[in-house]
Amino acid sequence: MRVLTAEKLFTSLFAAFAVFLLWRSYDYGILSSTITGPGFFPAIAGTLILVSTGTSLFSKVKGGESKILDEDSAGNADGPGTRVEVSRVAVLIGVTALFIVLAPYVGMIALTPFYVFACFLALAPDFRLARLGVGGGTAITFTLLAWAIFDKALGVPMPRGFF
Amino acid sequence: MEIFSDLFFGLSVATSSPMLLATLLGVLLGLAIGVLPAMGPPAALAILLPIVVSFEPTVAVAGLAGVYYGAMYGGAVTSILLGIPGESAAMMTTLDGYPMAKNGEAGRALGIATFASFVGGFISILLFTAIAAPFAEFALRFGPIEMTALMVMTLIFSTSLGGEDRAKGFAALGLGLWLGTVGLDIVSGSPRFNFGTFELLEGIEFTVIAIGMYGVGEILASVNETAPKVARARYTLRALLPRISDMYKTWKDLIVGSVIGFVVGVLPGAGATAATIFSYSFSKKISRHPENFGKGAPEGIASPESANNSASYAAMIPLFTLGIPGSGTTAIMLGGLLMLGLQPGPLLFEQNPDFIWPVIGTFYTGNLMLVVLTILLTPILASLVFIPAAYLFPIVLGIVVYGVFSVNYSFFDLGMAMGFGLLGYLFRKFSYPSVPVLLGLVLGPILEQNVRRSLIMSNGDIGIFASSTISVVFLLLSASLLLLPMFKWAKARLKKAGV
Repeated sequence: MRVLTAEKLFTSLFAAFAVFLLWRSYDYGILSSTITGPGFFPAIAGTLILVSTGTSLFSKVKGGESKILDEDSAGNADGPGTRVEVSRVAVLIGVTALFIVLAPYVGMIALTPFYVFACFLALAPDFRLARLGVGGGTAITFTLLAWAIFDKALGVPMPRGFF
Repeated sequence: MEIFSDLFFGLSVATSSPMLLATLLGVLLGLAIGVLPAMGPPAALAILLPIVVSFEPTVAVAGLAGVYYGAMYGGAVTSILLGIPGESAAMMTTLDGYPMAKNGEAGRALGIATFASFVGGFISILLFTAIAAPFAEFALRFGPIEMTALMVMTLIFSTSLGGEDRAKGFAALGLGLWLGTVGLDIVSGSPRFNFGTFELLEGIEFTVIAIGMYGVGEILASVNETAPKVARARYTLRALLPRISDMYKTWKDLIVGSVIGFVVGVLPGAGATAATIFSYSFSKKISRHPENFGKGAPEGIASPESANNSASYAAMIPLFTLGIPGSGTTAIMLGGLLMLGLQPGPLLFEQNPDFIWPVIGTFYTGNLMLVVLTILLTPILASLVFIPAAYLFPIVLGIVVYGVFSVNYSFFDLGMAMGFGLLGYLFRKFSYPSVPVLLGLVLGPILEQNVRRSLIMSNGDIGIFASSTISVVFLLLSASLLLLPMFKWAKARLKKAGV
């Protein structure tokens, strides 16, 4: 996907969000006689976003598609369009989401080495034994440190799950 | 002479064991952060916030501030040895530092950078000590009208000067201002934008957004980064010691850098990077041999290095005296201060001298520590940049997970932080600045309170903001900065039309 197309889409969504803010602000009440209502400040924020994103979109449309950033010969731009990057980001987000869902049941400390190791694999999918060993060692060392600092030293009440 | 007794008290507390340890840990971490290109001081401070809030406030702030100014020292190491600025503020140091290193003078360049950082820091701390308390006393005259105008000016300056695309900056600012309104309305008490959830009734936790936008966002945006494949310049430990001849040769540039750094650092939005650019250009202009700049001139290292360190301390003046942050890093520090139960502003010097003076005291001890640590740890610091992201990022993500959870013991917050992380990633990819989001988030609620209080006082008459000279000056400055591009555009159109 070309950067500017994705950027325009993002900016348009941002503008749509501003319209939503203005609608909700109106609902909350912007002014009642001379007293400002709860919607007064969100309306200012919404207007600021709408005007700014509108200006940004206008300049992009006016400027055309001439400023494609760092596009390589294969047509891949240096934006979130690069497949490897998007897949790594998606895996990291997905793994963290899984951690959030499972941690109350499995236990935070018990799940941490798997989480750190999964992040390691997402960033460097290299399955040579030595690399896996280093990744595993990093995961276990971090878990022990996290347990010592957050559980023992700071006394954070972490979910223990089944353990 | 009250200032000397206050400073003496501050130094005596700053040299106690817990404070020295906090400062040492802060500056050590700062040095490391300054070296790593994928992580800046705002991300590091955001990630550290949940951990340090459990400490005593003075100790916590000493550590946080140490990270901030420590990063300014660390940035020079990779700039000189590898030609890679660890921080954007170390960019100008690369221009002359790396050529010097390639000419076999890496140790000498590092020595100049360390000494310049120390001088810049020291001059800035002296000015900070002398100015901060009287500045806070003057700011006591500010009521809701002046505070509103000051905050408007800060937000406009920071947004206009802090990024390349002003429209995107203001859109980001709007988002930050809106995020600050989530939760119960301060005047009527009615819920706003909580989407029917109980968790959002008290608003979104500052740390959740800061860690998400900066910590997670920065990691996600750097997942494709690989360790640099460059040759490291060689040097001896002895060569790192600053030479008397270099000190003599660069004394003018040290003063230029320190003063420019201080002035630019106090201004909201300009920041340490702008200070280094101004300072480098000025030093080149006054130099007898400007042709040497960019080819390994010692003055080209001394000037920007003194400027960026000077700016980092100066940036804390508006934070502590007015409660107004001018950058992303100081916005996160403000968030930290609020979490610690402190209200930065004019009253801080009057009501919490036992907090503020020891913190200033740690600036002196931290600056001294950094000279020694930079010389001793340079070989280790230069190696840090080669740590693969695959090892570093999972650990940072792990710290983020534990840090966010430990704030409210909430997985909801953790989910929110990841959501903001994704937003931070998209912001970076589409060149939307993140700093205005944080500034809007931190200043938004205070601005809303002051605006609404002023309008209640005047029965809804907005003319109240023109009733104070200070307010008018601030608002005129803001308007001129907003309208300047329009004047430039109109002038260019007239010129094109031949008028």
